[in-house]
Order: sequence, then structure tokens, then C-alpha cells
Amino acid sequence: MAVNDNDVELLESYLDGELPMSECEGLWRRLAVESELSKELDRLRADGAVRQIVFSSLEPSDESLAQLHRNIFKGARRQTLQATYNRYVRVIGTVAACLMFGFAFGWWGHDRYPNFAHGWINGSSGGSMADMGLGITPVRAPAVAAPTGKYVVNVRDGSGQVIATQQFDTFEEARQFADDFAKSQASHSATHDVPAVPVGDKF
Amino acid sequence: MSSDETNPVIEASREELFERAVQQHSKRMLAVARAIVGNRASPEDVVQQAFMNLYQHRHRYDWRQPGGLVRRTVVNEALRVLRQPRMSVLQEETAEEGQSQSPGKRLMESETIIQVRRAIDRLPDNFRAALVLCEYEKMPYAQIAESLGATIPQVKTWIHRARRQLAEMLKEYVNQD
Repeated sequence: MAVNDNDVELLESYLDGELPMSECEGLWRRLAVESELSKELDRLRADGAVRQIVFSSLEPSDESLAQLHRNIFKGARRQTLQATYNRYVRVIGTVAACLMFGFAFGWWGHDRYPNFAHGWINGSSGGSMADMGLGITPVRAPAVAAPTGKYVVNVRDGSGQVIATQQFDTFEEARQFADDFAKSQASHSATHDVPAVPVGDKF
Repeated sequence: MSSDETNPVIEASREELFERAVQQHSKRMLAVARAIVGNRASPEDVVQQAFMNLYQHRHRYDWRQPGGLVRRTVVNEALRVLRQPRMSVLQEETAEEGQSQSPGKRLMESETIIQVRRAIDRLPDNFRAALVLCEYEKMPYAQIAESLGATIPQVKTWIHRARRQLAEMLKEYVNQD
């Protein structure tokens, strides 16, 4: 009985170890009685053996294998170094970006809020509490009549710029506030102007 | 970036496993790559690139059983190289020294090996890859299908056709003699 394409596929599956046991038993029975099928199996086995020799001949020599290992490990080391370098560059870049953003924001704020910046400058130069908080020098806060019929007290800093306003219904209230404010400023300055005396000097 | 990637202990053990995988599998992988790319590309480059790809993303893989992973990567890299436009054909290698004793027989065996290798080189890429994985790597059809991104019936068909085409090509060679 001639061997057809399905039989060859069956034999190939058998040789590849992919044929289920139930089908193997049927195949063995056929191989026992069909000589053509048996010959085909032998032919497939022989072809496979030749291919095995061919594939084995493709295996590399020890020298080329050692060279390959060296290349792979060298490449791996290079990749690790590159990754470390990239990580450092990322960190440095992030820090630089933060610093630049901080300086840019400071410069932008300096233009728009001079008093804010002034206060910071005074504070950092070690000025008095009064200077440090508001940049206020002890000045009389003049009270003026507002157009709406209310009395407004403007609080000015050392450069004469208005830094706060307060409205009052009567002139008396406004003057009272201005006087209190002036007194408060005066007492504040007096406290700070007294030279520090070491406690030990009194004894 | 996961904590695994930055943990030096895990990283060191991963690198050790990677080195072991290279030592264990590169010989067979080189043969597989050589069988798949033939003389159309350098199999050493294919294997090296495949291992470099694995190393680059080493934190993603489980390196305790790397055989399947390495095989799949090498096969994919070999097929990728074959899909690229061909720049040049490498110099054809002669078959390595045979195992037979007599010079005459060795010559014939060597000639047969060259002819079979040429015939294997002429197979379509998928046929060749499937045949190599089946006959040289002794992989089951299911794993071949997974490696090549195909179905099991497709793989079965590729292997069957590859064998048939090889038989026909070698029949011509036998008839010529």
C-alpha cells in the first residue's frame, strides 16, 4: 500500500514524539504489516540523522565561543556604565532645573513684590525685628479724610511707600490709632536701641 | 524604576544568573542562530544582540530557568535580522571536520553536509526556524509555536513542508551525482 502525505505527517509526528500513545499503538500495528510505511519511517529517520550531523557541525569552536562570551560581558559592562551615567545625569539635571526654577521665580517675584524682597534682604542681613517683619521705620502715620467721608490712616515704610491702610468713621478714632501706632513704634524702637548689658555687670 | 532595580543584592544575583545563562546556553544558541540566518548575517552578532536585549531588560525576567527565554530571544532576533534588507552575504563556511576516519569518506560526508546546509539555507525563514527548533533543540510543537508566535498546526505544517522541500532539493543533488 502506497504511503500518502497524511502517513508521512503521522510518521513525522511519531518521530518528533508528538503522537499520542493511543495513535502510536495503531501506527505500530500498521508498521508491522505495511512494509512501505516501515521503509518511509526508516528514510525519515535517516534524513533526520543527517540533519543532526549538519546541525552539530554548526556548533562553534571553543575559541569563537570564548570570544562571544567576552563580547557579551563587555557589552553588559558598557550598558551598566551607560545606565549609571544616565542616572547621574538625570539627578544632576533635576537639581539644576530646580535651582534654575528657584532663581527664576525669585527674580520674577523681585520685580513684582519689592517690599517682599526688601523684607527678605533685611532679614538676611540681621536687621531689627521691626525692619525684618515689615521694613517699617518709626514714622508718624498721617490720617487723611477719604473721599467717602471716612478717615484713612496710611502706614508707610522707610522709603515712603504705603504698606497698609486703615479706615475709620471719625477723625478722633483715626488720630487715636495713629497715636497708638506711633507709641507702639517708639516703644519698639526704644526696646531695640537699649544696649545689651551682661547680667554679671550688675553684681 | 522598581526597588528591585536599585537593590544591589538582587541586582548582583541577577547579573550572576545572567552570566550563568550566557555560559550555559550560548553554544547551542550560536548553532541555532547559524542554522536560521545561514550566511546572510553573522550568527555571533545575532546571539550577542539577543543577550544584550535580555541584559538591558534583565529586571523583567525570571533568570532561574532562562533556557526558554534565551531561545525565544535568539530566534526572534535571528528572524528580525533576516527581515531586514540584506546588505551582503557573508563568506560561506565550509563544514567542520567530520568524524569519519578515511579521507575519501570524510570528503563525501563533508560534501553531503555542505549540500544539506545549502538546502536548509534555501528554506523559507519560518520553515527553517521551526525545523531547527524541532530537530536540534528537540522542542515540542507547542513551545515552537510560542517561540515563533504561531499556532501548533502552523508549526506542524512548516516542519512537514520543510522536510519535504529538503528531501526534494537533496534528491536533485543525489540525482546529479
